[in-house]
Amino acid sequence: MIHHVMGVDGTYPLLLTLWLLPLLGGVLCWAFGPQLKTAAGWLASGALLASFVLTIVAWPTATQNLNGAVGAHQALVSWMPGFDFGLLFDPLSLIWTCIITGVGFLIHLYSIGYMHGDRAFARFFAFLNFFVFAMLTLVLSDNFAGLLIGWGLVGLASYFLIGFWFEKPSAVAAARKAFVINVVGDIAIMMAIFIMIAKVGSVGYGDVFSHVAAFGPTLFAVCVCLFIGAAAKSAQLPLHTWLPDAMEGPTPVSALIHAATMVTAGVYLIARCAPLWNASPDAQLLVGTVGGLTALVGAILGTAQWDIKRILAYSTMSQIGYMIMGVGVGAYEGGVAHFFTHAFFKAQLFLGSGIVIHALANEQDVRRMGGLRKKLPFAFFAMLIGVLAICGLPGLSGSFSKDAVIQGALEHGHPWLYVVGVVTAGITAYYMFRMLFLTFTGAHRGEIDPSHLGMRHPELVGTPHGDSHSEHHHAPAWLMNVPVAILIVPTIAAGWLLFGGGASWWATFFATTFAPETLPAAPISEMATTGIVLLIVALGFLVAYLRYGRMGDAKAAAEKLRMETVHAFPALTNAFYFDAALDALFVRPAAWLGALSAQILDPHIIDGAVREIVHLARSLGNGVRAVQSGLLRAYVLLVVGGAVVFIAYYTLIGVHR
Amino acid sequence: MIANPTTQVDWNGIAPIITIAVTALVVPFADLFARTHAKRWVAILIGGLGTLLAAGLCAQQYGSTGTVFGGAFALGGFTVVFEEIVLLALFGSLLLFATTMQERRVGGSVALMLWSACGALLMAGASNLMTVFLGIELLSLALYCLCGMNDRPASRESALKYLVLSSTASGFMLLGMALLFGASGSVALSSLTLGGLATSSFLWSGSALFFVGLAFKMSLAPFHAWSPDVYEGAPMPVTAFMSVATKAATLAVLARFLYAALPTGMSSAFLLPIWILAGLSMLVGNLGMLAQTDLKRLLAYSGVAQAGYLLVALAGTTALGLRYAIYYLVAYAIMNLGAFSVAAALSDEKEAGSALSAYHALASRRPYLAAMMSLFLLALAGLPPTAGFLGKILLLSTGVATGYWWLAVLLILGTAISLFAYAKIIRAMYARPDGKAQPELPVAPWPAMISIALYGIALVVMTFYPLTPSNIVPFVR
Amino acid sequence: MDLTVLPVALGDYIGLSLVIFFIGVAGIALRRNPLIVLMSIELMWNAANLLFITFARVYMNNAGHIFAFLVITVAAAEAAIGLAIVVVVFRNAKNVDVDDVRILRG
Repeated sequence: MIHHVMGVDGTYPLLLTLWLLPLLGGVLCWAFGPQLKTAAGWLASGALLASFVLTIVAWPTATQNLNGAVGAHQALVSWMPGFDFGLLFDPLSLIWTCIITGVGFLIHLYSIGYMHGDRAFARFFAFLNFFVFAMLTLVLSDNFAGLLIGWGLVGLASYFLIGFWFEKPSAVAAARKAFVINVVGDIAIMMAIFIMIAKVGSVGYGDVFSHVAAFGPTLFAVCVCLFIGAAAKSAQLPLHTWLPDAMEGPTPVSALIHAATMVTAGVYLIARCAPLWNASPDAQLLVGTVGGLTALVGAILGTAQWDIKRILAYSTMSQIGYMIMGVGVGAYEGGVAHFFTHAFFKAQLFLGSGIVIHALANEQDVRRMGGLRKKLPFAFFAMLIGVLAICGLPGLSGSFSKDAVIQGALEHGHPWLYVVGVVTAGITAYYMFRMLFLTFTGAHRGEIDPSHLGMRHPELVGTPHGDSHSEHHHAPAWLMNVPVAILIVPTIAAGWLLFGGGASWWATFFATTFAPETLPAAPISEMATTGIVLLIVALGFLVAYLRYGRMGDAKAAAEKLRMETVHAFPALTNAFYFDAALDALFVRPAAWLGALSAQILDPHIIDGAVREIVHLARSLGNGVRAVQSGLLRAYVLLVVGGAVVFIAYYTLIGVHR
Repeated sequence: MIANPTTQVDWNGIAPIITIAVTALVVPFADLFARTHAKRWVAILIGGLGTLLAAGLCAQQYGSTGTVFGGAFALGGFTVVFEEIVLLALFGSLLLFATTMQERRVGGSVALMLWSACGALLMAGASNLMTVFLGIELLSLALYCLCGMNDRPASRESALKYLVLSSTASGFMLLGMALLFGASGSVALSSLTLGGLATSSFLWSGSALFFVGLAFKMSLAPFHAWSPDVYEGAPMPVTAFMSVATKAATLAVLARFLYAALPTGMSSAFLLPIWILAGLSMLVGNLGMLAQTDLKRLLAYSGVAQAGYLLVALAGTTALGLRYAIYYLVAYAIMNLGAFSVAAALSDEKEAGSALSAYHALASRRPYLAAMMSLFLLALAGLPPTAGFLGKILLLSTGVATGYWWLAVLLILGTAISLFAYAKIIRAMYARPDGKAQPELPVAPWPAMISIALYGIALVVMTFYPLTPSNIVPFVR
Repeated sequence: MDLTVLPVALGDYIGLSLVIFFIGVAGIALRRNPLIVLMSIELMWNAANLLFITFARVYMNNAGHIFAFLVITVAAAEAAIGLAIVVVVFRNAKNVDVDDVRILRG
């Protein structure tokens, strides 16, 4: 088999450096944490900034095109035939690398302020840097085995970071849940890799994608296995239940891992495997449908949440649903674009909510917020921009990418996914504005006296505060504001890269990666789609305003929200019983099986069998040793006997040939 | 075919063998003139240098092709690879003389081991029946003497048993060679491929007897009975050398016979008994290990099983299978030498390190040796992170790919059985000291300690570079 | 292959060779005196020699003769070593019996 490599083979020291810098930073933070103290945060951020700068410097190598080989390929280790490890830096991995290092840097910077005084400050940054390294491994690998390694490592980093405050039992439980569900996905991807080895004999992207025909009917199985992995990582139905729980981690972690980067690994995987999906319409339909449903279900569930981070978590799930729907139906540029813009505005929303949470001494319940617009004007402004972007106000980044996905569904012949996308957009506007109104407008409903907001007890500066942030509340340091302020720029502007549809900068950028197809004109034009979406979004906004925009004084509002909580649909408050269903379907039978095996199977059947086998082996071994009598003549007879059988066999068979 | 009397005698082709033979002549003289307390190291040093020189000369022949001495000895990658494995075994075994064996016997033993290696080297390149016979006998005759080099009665007994049994097996093989000669009228292995001999009854019966001889040398069940007794009785360096060099050289002969000497269109029934022997060896070898108390004896049974594993790669006689077999052979050589080196490091002239009881709570007394021994045992068992693991995976994949799935099943079954035996030793090494007074452990010289580390590193590194030479298979026909 | 050069049929040579061979095998397996065992080994090897010489004649190929001489040489060396080992093993024994040699077993 000719070895196919994607990208121009060569030596790229920049690429290696930008990949390994976060690892170096992580190791240093981990090893010298006690000595570094707060410098650990700066070291980790510096490593990422350097990595980001190198990404920009290395940009031309990722877009080079030499006789159809796009991007840079750096060979690393050749293990066995078909197992060559290397780095691939092409437009797709470039976009992800930019977000991981760029947005990652901003979130690192923010964390210096947010995690200030935590007793495990250095460890946090070690984990964060390690996560970035793992994520870079995932997106830069040139083969599925390397991808799986990165895939597993980001899961591990996520486990560490969700459970970072391991004194909280809920955080530990959430970490474990995320890890278990992610391992399900890892195993699915491993299955896909086994099929690839069996059918193609290689795990390299180039080899697999140039031998798609070799899969035959198993292609669908490969796609399904890969998608199970993607669904577990990207919180798609029905494997999404870990994501809301993962909000137990520190808010910067939620912003980086559970909004901007790791959870979009599934989108990356499917976009990377575009040749596989293009060859399997069934898989496209499956993934598109699951993505659309996830978008819808996530949005519906988002309307019933009271925890500001859980609202954002369901919104993340819903938005990733959009992305998956986009790459699933074949609108790869649209799906990837939505990842790109979403990384900015969702990070901004999370970091903004972090400012609020931080200021309110870890209050996360929007029912006890309200009226914060005056006290936290910057947070309000930042989150307003984010909400407008996610809702798709024309001109802001979200509108371009979301419309591209919705329009893409129609162009690729899935009208009902189009409808789902449009409806979801309306619901999104409703729950996002609901969050905004509840948090920032009206009167303050919390126990905390709003007059304390913005004040910081000087004697508490620098004391460890862990998850409780003690009793103090303080205005965000400039460290927390600056990253958010920087994020506002792309949140507004990133979408303009997409302006112009097929002729846009974005489409040109990915033209070599996804081989654009010519599709029949959709019955509804892009402009019309934008109009329809805008109309639905306005409707959502209106409902949110009517319900939550004019709530009167604190007492009346609190009473209203209490009644609403009491009379909420049980289906919604229980998140459509997904957890209960998973529990009933898998957890309880597993526990039952475990009990069965502990009480009956293990002691009586398995142990018994093992005992029998050991006994059998030992007696057979004694038989072997009994033959070994030490008598020379017995050994001679054994040789002669064996020889006689041999000769007899060969003479008889030989005669009959 | 009559050998051409004008054939150019190419001494270069057998330069490694000549080097070893000359070294073997030099060692006794040096021993004669060396001072009493320097005899041990003089012999090891000269033998070691000769081995390294031979290895260097051997490596130079990697790219050469053709045969020398009128078709008696083949050159090329295949020969070189097996020669290097033999030389590795020789070098590693020579180092074991550093602690074991009485000083006055070392010179003679080293010389004999060098002669024995000459025979093994000859087998690696043997391409006619005479060279095969000569190589096997040179290897064996020197080994008979080596086995009896210790003063213990067990050592002498092993020499007698080995001599009688091996000579008997040689008798069978010789009769087989005569019949093979009768089949083709030529002693050249390649002549069997000519003239439609696929159904010749001389070829079939001759091959049967030839295989009996080779199976005996490789200690395949049921021809394995000699190996536990001989391994246990022989001095430790001899056992180490025998376990690796004999298997490697015999595998070379067998592989050359299977790949280059068989007529095209041989039915699969022809080779079936060999694979049955492989399966039987895996079972017998692993079962035999279960209740042993002596390390050398345990490794003998292990060797029986490993010989079976090796043959799984050859089942189906594919080119890839041969490469995998060589990979596993190299790994086996290293892990076996490693285990013997640890045993030798715990031994003096009395070879206390041979008894498994010596390993109880070793970790608390010699943590380094215990850790390395665990690594070698893990490799023998075929567990990660060692080349033994990857090797077994490769063997399994060949077995399955060529349709010999039952061999693959037996391989897994055998591995499972062997885990009991290997794990028992590891567990004993990491057990708490039981308070009984332990005999004083000797301190091994630094070359032995370094060689153990090198074996360990090689085993782990090989896992990441499973590179086997690709140009072995088109060897000389 | 030219069978006419043989004074008697080829099968007779092979038959004789096999008879000698199995006398040798029986001697090794059944006799307990190590010297007889060594002699029996010689018988096995010489049975093979007979076949080599027969086929050398049939094929008019001297390789068979050379092989036979080679075997005789090696057999001599093997006998010398064998006798030495027998002497060492049975130096202090009253009876010379291979069945007494069984320290190693199991």
